[in-house]
Amino acid sequence: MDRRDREFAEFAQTRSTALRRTAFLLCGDWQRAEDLVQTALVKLYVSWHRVNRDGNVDAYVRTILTRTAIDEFRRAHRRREHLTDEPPEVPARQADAENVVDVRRVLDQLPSGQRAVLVLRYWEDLSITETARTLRVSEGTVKSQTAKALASMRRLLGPGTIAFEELS
Amino acid sequence: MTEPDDRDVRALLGTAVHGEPPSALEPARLMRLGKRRLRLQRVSAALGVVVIAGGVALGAGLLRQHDNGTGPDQIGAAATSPPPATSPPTTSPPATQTPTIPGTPIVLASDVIATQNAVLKHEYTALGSGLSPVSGQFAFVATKPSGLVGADYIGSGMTTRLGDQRGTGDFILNADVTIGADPGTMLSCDSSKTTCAVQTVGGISVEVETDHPTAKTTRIFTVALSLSGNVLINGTSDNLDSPQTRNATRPSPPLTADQLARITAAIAKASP
Repeated sequence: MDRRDREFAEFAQTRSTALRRTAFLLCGDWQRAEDLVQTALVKLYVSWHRVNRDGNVDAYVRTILTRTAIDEFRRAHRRREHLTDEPPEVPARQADAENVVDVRRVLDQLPSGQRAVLVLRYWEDLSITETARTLRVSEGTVKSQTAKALASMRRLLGPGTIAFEELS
Repeated sequence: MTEPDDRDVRALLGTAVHGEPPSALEPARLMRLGKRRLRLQRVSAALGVVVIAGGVALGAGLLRQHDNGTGPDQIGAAATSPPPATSPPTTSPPATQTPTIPGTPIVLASDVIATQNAVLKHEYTALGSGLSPVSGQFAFVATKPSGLVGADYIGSGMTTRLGDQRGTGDFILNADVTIGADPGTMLSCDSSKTTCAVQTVGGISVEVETDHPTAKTTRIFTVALSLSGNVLINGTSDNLDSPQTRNATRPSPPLTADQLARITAAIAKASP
């Protein structure tokens, strides 16, 4: 095993779980999340020497992951999505376990940009500047997308859900 | 309502990853895939010039079949620059391509994009639709990254808004470079919510989808997909002015499914 393989294997071993969770939050499907991480890590392997030399491997993978997820969403949106004029009805609170479902459902309804901003800022703990750089948008856009995403979450979660109360 | 603490949002997102299934990601497999991609890039680098030259020659041949009449003024400037390749393949100068070395993007050569633009202009003019671009670009430009095939591959694309007295609507075309694409997979109708069929237009297979308004949406779109060699063409026409505002400004997309299929097939035919 050469140096590239050793270093890459160590990185993949330690980071793949966290990357998969981030990918899941971006796309909402574990299988697709795994595909996204695989795509990002394979690309990282190809560019390992350059990226590792630059010293920002995490940022590189995160950027690939996020942008690929957004691109796939937009492609699927163009081809398959059926827009609705109104959000689906919010089911009434039934049990604590539904909290998971509530949050996933809401994430699925956020536009890809808002969803990515939310994940990068609150899950990955990136600053506004880092988020803007990752998404290649302005810091102003990040701020407005964050505000919209949080507002949408509150609206879509609805007052009858546990998650809403946590966010209020 | 107060602004949530950052930790609250993070905790909320954390609930969404609850019940995480076991991962099948293995570094050894990732490295095998990485090595294969490296080999693929090296082979592509060696074959790239040949492929692109073939594409340009094909495009030039197609252009000779078209009458190269000028299009409407409103699409002239963007769609005619740079000029298409028109000389016979045997006398064409060597096609130019951004050098492709491992770790750098594989791109559609500027010659190919110029050919796509020439064909786009010709086909659009031939439609005689009476629609004029009101915003956006009416010409292919290099785009990256492609979500379908990864960020190492650069294709071309254009988005314009067409309008007439009935309103406006979007017309989007993307050409994505793919390697090892399977036409059977790429062109397969897999949605039960749309009208979809794979048809042959000018010798090129085109998957054509249409969607119709329902009680909850006023969106109507047509999509045409065509695969030629290693380039996937994706054409969309939509009656909404944007997915965000969802204002239907036309009763139907500016381009019909047949029109979109014809343009998409022609672009595919002119791409390597």
